[in-house]
Amino acid sequence: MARPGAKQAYIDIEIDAGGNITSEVHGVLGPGCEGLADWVKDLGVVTVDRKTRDWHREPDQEQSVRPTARTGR
Amino acid sequence: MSKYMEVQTELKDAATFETALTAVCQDNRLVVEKGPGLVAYGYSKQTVDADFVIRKRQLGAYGDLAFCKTPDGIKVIVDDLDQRGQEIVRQVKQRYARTRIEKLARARGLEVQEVEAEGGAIRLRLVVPDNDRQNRTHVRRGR
Repeated sequence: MARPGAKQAYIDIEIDAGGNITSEVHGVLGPGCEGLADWVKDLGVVTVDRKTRDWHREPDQEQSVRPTARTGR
Repeated sequence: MSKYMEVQTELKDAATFETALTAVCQDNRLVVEKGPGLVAYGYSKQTVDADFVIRKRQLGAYGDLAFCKTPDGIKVIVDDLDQRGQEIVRQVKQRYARTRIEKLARARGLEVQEVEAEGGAIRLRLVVPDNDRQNRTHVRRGR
């Protein structure tokens, strides 16, 4: 789920003329987006389920106010 | 964007399906017979028991368009060559998907916004209304 201070979280849904659905989660970084849109899977057969670059980013990476030390550099 | 999914809609919820079918039939000026215990007639006198039937004479089709309730959802019976029947099925699936998404989204406290549609598609934006409030209450119901 979205955290305070994060960008506005939303899901864009498109239902084509045949009733097939595509969904895109925006504004949520990291695995937190899973819970936001997983219920869409219950509407039918999932043919594509893809994590994008934002899924692998940590929520705090966008906020420069926390100078967290990072390892592996 | 952090996650992308494609889902082929299945008609699982009988109540939502019936609402969608009724609306599509009204839009297309079709009469739908509602069972149970109806008999649908296919090409060359084949028959099948059905719960909802649109007769072939309305569709100019080879067979009736029929829908049967099953434990796994709604089973669709339409002749492969009946283009009009298949178009009605597509419309029902689209209406069903929209109705179901709006209902499930609102139950999860998401605000449903309609975005400009194009090419026969429906576009919705489901917005988390207030991140702070969402975190405190988890789910807001009944909107």
